[in-house]
Amino acid sequence: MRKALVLAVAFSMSARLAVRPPRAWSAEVEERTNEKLAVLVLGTSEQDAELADNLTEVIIGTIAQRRGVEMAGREEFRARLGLESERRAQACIDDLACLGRAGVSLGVRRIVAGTVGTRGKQYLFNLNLNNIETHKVEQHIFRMVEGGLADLIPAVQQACDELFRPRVEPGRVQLTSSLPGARVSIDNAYLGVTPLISGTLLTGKHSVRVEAEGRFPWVSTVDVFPGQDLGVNLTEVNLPRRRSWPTSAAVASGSLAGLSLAAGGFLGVLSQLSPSGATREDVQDDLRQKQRFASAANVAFICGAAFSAAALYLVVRYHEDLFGRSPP
Amino acid sequence: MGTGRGPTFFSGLLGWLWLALAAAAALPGSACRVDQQQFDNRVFACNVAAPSTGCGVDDTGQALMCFPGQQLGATDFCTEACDVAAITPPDRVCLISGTSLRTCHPSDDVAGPGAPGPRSADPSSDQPSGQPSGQPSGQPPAGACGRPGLDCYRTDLLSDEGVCTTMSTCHSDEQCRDPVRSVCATSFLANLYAGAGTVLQNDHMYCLQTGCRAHGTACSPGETCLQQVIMASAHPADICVPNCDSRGSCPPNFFCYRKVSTPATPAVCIPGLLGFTCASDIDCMLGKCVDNGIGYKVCTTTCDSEDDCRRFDGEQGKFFCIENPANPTAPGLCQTPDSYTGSLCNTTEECQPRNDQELCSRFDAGDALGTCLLPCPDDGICQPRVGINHTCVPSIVMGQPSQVCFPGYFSLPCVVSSNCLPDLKCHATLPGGPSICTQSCSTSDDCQGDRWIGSNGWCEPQLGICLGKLSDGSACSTSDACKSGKCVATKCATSGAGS
Repeated sequence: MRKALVLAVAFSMSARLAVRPPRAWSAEVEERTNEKLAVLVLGTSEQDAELADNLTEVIIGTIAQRRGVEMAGREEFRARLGLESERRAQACIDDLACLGRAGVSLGVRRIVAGTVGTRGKQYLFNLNLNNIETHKVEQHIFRMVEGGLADLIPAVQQACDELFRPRVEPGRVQLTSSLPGARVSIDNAYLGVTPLISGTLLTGKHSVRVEAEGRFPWVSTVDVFPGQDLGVNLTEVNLPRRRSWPTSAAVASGSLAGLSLAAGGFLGVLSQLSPSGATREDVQDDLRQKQRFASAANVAFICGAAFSAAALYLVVRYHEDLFGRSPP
Repeated sequence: MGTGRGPTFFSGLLGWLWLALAAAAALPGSACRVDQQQFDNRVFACNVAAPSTGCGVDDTGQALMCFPGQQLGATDFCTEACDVAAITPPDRVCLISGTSLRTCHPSDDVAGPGAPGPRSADPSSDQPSGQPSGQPSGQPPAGACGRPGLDCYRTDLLSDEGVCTTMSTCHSDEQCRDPVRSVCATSFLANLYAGAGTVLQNDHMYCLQTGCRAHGTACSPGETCLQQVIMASAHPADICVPNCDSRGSCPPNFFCYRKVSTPATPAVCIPGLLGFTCASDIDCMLGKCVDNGIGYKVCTTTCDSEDDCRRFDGEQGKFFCIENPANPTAPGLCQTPDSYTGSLCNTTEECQPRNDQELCSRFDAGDALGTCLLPCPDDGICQPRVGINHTCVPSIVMGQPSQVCFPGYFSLPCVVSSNCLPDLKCHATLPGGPSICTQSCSTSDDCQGDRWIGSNGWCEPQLGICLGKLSDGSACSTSDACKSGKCVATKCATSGAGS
């Protein structure tokens, strides 16, 4: 099995090398550093010990090839740990202090440690990239692979790539305003009122809208960087006062215009009816009445036009106060 | 940060603003205007008998009046008021009643009177007026008067003059479909002035009721049978005529007899025929109303020759052309002596408003009414009046024998031939008897051929002059001398007696 695994790894590596484009290869070479890494994978049971050793070799080969770093040998690592039984080794790789001691003795800054096991036809493995200096687990990967070794090896190699992929840290936005209680929405989701600290945000651009009663809203797009706490402090300049009288005036003018035009129309219709009466005097009186209706209708029309013009002027002149500001 | 909208948005709004303002400015001018012209063009009916005419006022605020169209069988209608004493605009006629009617030219009716056309003379369009009784059913177009509901009624048979009324005019009896007013005045006038021929323009006339005396039929309310109120000697036509209203007003072409004459005359409207008394031009159906300078006016027309006047000869008088001696180059005037036989009167006081020199004289003491005539001068020779020779005839004034001047008709006494009408001479009669206005003759045909004598005279062979025919029972020598035409046993027999 071991020979088969090694052959498979060799074939897989040569295939990868063969198809890698020159540009990608050269770029990877450029990333090489003088860092030294140590790798140790343990089996979850006695039966998996050999599989764990083989996977350790695969991981070492993969990392060495991909990242171009110096790798501490599996046996050397085990010796430095000073651990003989698998149980004690298992306990050590879960303990950063224990790993730290081994790393110091090996002269490595980071250690890839993990376990592998089988469950029926499934392979399960996890890998941790432990940073001895920061005393943190920089990356953690867990995989469950269906199939045989041919499926396990690419999964392990892919896991190695992800293990060293830079980890993206989320950012936040801290919003304060001189007008307390301003409502805050980010990406059209209402979050609360100022002062406010948003939850974690993915890095990149986010739409922020801050509204206060009687004020024009502040709308902007902010760019959040990884791990950034972006502070935004809004003053009254950013939230200018929104005039309310144009709205009242426009509504009043529009209403009066509507009433005037309606009254003008009604009176106009009345004025156009045929005058009637039993005698000429009656008809003449009716005609005079209709002339008064016509005059009143004309006055109403003129008033309606004036009010309409006033309403239109207000709409044009103060349309931002009436309808708010359009988004940029 | 939000910003304002782009310039396109503002330009659009400003465009709409200007559009709205332009529409608003145009709206009052186009939408709400009462059609005053339509109202002014409508003809409104009214009722002269109502306490209030209901005509309202005109554009200047002056009250309108109700024209009594019913007097001619038309609809009373509202029209402008006028001042009789003031100068009337050329397109209006001011009636004595104070109502003003618009003048028109009958010839402007292209389709002629009686042509079909719209008609509406009512206060409201949804209340159509009934067809005036006695009016033709077919209506002329609005051409002559320019307004639907009005028709041009001719006011002068000798010229193209008329006034606009609600009456539907006619030019033949067929157009008068009302069984009461079944005769068009055109046919009545054609008979009256049979000799006038085409000189008369007797279209655009009115429908009248005839035969009220002959058939014993009553006239319509407000009308009077003319022969029942006018003496037979005046040869009144057997027609119904309107009564004068309380102010002595009559329709155009009529004059109020009582108003132009004396209180003794009936208050009926008499057609203003040639030679009839009148007050204004609108009273005259023929010609103009001319002041003769003797206290009253008569309807007359100008003439250049005797023929111009003789064609109007008829029952209403025989006409001759009288020139003005002071202006012989000017046209003369057609006059008839019948115009100067005096107005009916009871007392001299009734005569004096017209002519303070006239006296109420009776030719027979038993006459109920006298006539207003000038007294004879001291020398017994009357001077011509308006160019018409007058002669002095005996009469009774205030119960006392007197003498008054009278037109020098045939057989009236005279002193000189200037007392007699033209063609007549003052001839002596029997010894001791008065001279009379007559004509010399050889046979009775000579007398009957004279226009002034006619069938009233016979030729007395011994005197060689025409004498008046004798009454029944008078001594006679020939049948020609008798009114009955029968001289039996040297006496004139009564009509129907055997010869």
